[in-house]
Amino acid sequence: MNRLVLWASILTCAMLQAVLPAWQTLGQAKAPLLLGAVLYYALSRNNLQVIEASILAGVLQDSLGPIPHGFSVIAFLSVGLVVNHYRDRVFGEHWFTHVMLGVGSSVMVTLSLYLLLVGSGLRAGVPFSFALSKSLGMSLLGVVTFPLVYVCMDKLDVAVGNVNRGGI
Amino acid sequence: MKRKGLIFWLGLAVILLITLNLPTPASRSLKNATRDLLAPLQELVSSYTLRFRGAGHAIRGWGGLPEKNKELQQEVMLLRQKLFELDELREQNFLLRQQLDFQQRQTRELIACSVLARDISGWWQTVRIQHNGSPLIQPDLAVINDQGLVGKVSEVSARTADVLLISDPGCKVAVQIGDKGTYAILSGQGLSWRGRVVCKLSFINKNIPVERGDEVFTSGLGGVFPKGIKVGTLETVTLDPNGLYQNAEVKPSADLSQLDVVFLVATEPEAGR
Repeated sequence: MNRLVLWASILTCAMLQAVLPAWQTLGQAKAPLLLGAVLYYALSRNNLQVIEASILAGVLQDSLGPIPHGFSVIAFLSVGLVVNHYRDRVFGEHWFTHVMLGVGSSVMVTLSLYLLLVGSGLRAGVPFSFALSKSLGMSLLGVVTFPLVYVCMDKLDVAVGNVNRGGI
Repeated sequence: MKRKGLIFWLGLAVILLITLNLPTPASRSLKNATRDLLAPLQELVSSYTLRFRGAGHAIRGWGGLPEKNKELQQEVMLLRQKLFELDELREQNFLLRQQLDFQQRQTRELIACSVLARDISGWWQTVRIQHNGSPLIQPDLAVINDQGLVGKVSEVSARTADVLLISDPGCKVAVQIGDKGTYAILSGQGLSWRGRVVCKLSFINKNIPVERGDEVFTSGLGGVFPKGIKVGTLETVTLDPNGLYQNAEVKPSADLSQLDVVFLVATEPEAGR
């Protein structure tokens, strides 16, 4: 059931992220739902599940857009594993943690993707100011998105019995 | 235990390296398979968002419906009149071509496609469309809507295709400015801080006066975009810093933020009429 929920929730996040409109004024930022799902697993599961979630989310993001395979996987994996490593040192279930993670990880993912895309020559003409405005947009959307994704996925996990109150 | 951990991380690194270095055909097949697999789901989500949007438009436009109706009726009248004139011209043209023994070897077919989604990451200016599986659909086909040029097809899978919009920096279009007889290259510049689509026109002959409001059409050069499709209108015109040619900003005539249905301009080889 754990794996089913992981796959279903990440697929749903990918579908919604593709359909939701982009924030035109801030670097065409999109609500980082896939990143939210990865962060949820980073805060609540072991590193194997974080890797599975990151690879699935990354492959979906790369497949549903022109980004070459592997770029988003790297970005999601690095953020997911860093958060997972330090998850015992933060209040993982507190909304403030989710807000801060939403901001920090959105900026980190956006900038790492920018570096990968510009470094590979695929988006060589894109100015750094665009990446900055996109980071700002993504972090603002992340503030709203990540706590929401966390609550929804936590409720789903509790409902299907993957998570008991106080433990997994 | 440490050895197991090392093997695990090495395995992960190998998977990442393989993913990053997937050969282009394998990567394309994987992308196409994922897109086709998810196309029905995307269609479902997209149809619901369209319904919501439609309801929103209906509520917002409630007060102005009679005016809008009147405007549309006037437009229909004008278009009918133009169509009549065009029919006459086409007939004349056909007769003249026949007299000149001109053989029209290609006909263009418009394939209507609905827009499923936009680029999921926001790094590209693309939309994903669902098509009917016609073999005529190939990369580099021009994409238009009733307002003007939208972009060109960049990737095609069995059920979907990606369209690179003219606002993307990777999309370059050979254009001509109205009846001025001058050519230029249009390239996308993404979006401004206000969210406005910006396209730049480069290499305009500096000796030919062009001004704000001049209309821009595809020139037909380059072979991707057929001649005569409206692209937009000039907004600002400036002299290049080198003084060799003029540059201009173009406002696209197609509203690229509200694309629901687009048409692919397919070319079908056919014997002469």
